[in-house]
Amino acid sequence: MLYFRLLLVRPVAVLVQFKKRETMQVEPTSDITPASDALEVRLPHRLRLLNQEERAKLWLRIRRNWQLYVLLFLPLLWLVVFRYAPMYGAQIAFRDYSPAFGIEGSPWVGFANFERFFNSFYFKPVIINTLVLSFYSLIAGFPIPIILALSLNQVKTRLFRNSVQMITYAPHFISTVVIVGMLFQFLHPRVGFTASLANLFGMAPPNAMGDPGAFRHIFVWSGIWQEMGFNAIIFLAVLSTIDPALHEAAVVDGASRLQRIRYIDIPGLMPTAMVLLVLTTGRVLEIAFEKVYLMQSPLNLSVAEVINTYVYKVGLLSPVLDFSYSTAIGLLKGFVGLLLLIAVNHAARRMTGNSVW
Amino acid sequence: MTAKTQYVNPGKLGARRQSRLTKWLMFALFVCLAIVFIFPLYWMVISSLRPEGRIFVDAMEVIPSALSLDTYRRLFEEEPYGVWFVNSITQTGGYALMGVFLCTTGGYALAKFRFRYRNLLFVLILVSQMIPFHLLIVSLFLMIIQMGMAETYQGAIVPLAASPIGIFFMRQYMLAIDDEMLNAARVDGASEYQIFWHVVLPNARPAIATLLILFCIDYWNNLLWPLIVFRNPDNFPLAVGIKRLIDQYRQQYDLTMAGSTLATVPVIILFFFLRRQIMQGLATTGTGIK
Repeated sequence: MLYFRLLLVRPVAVLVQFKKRETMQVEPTSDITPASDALEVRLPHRLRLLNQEERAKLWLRIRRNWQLYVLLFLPLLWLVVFRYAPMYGAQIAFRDYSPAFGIEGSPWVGFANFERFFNSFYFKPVIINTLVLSFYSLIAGFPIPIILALSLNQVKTRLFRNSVQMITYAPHFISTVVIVGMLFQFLHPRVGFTASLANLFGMAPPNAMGDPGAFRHIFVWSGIWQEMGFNAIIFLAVLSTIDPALHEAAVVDGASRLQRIRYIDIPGLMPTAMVLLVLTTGRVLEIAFEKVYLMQSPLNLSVAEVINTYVYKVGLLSPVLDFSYSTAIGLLKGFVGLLLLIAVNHAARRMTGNSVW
Repeated sequence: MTAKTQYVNPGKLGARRQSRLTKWLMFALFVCLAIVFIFPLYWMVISSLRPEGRIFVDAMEVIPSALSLDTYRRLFEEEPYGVWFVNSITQTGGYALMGVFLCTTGGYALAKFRFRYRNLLFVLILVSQMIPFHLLIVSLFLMIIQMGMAETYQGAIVPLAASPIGIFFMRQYMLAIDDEMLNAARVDGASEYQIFWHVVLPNARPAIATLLILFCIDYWNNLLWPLIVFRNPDNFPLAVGIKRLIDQYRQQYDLTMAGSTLATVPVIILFFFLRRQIMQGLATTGTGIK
């Protein structure tokens, strides 16, 4: 989507590392703001009104650093307008929004929209589908890139290793629409590859895409197919930083390959893996909207309707657009996601000592 | 150096001799893996090349007996595929340039200037990445309508352009640029503007290129937001167009497959040629190691 998935989860992991590093080294002072530190000391109470001399100094400071403000202005403006302002708009979850009155003119209704969702016929199936699909993806999808990275790390032939890596992460760059189109075609009951295969063995060709029982497996495993190589990149990068001396010492001590993986590689991966696990869990309800939406058909809707697609249909697709209701559901999901993130982070810290914060 | 190699060698040699069998097993495993990963793509391409009306008849042939470009001709004649393609290129280009510009300036300011509340600002930027996009969709959509940008290219690209993660990415890269270099330029009397153009940008070129590529691929494949913004098929980018093909031709896959193949080719080409560039950029900044 509009974030690259890799970078999406990684930064906080990086942030943790950077925080550590930043505290260790003294940051080089740029001579562009020589006065700022001194000023900070002199003005401990920020709420105090500035006297004239200080105000002049402040202006001088701003004028001297105008380049900085020019550089910062546009990106910040953008984020405020397109990221934070819509958050303000999310208050329509608690209102009965109608375009005639605008956001602020619509009447407050408290939690009515939420209650409506809780009492709705869709509530239970949508929640269950979301949870099953997301945790299935997480549990099946999380260890596989690690295993791929661990085994690739064992391969010493450069060409071989690089080509495997390239082949496995290429699908990441293919559009979801294309992937789903391929799925429909590949698994088609008449022209699909699976149909040919079934015919070859004299079996009845399966209609996988129309089978509600198969939906989850197809969704999860095609996702793994698409993302495993790409997700392995970070683990490979971490593995490459493990001190070779550890491996040398282990070899001298007679450790087998498996033992070295078990006692050197895996512990080395642990901190990164934990951080990623926490972050992935925090976003677990965000299951790839586009893919679920495209894979939906009247046949599999009973298992394929998830929160995100429901929000989209209620808020942006149905004949009677219900912005408030749809925003309320989105907000609820965001809130649950946050709770999950906190819970998993806590669990990770208790169990392994590694966590995001 | 020599001492070290001598120290390593015995173990390595032993390991190598021991694992000849494992090595072959692994090789076999990886060949299977390669087939699993490449075959679906191959299937997509040959499905699009099967002669019209024979997609059902020939479906069982893994190696097709007859090929034809007829589907591609139909794609351009019966559907506005050419228009979609041009739309995609224009929108992707606009999005990537705008995004990279914003991220570069923002990242530079955050990395190389010290000012009050910098860290707070940085955290706020990262936090905005954590807000689920789905939460913003409805109010963003209302906003776009209010601004009169519905059904326009601007409406599709502007709201996505400031990517917090892109700013973060550039900041990480800029941190590695030596302060001494900037100070030297200042001592030599360069203005901040000159420093940015002539010192910072050339040094950040790899990161800028990486970001540009990633943004391009990102928008090229993006479906959700353009799907919301555009109703008129003449404005669709490729992803939305292909979705339309899928909806329209549920039982007739040749057009969909041809459209998918053509949409995927640029990405794959970009990816194969710039693979090193992408990976390098991600390794230096994305993981924060070295």
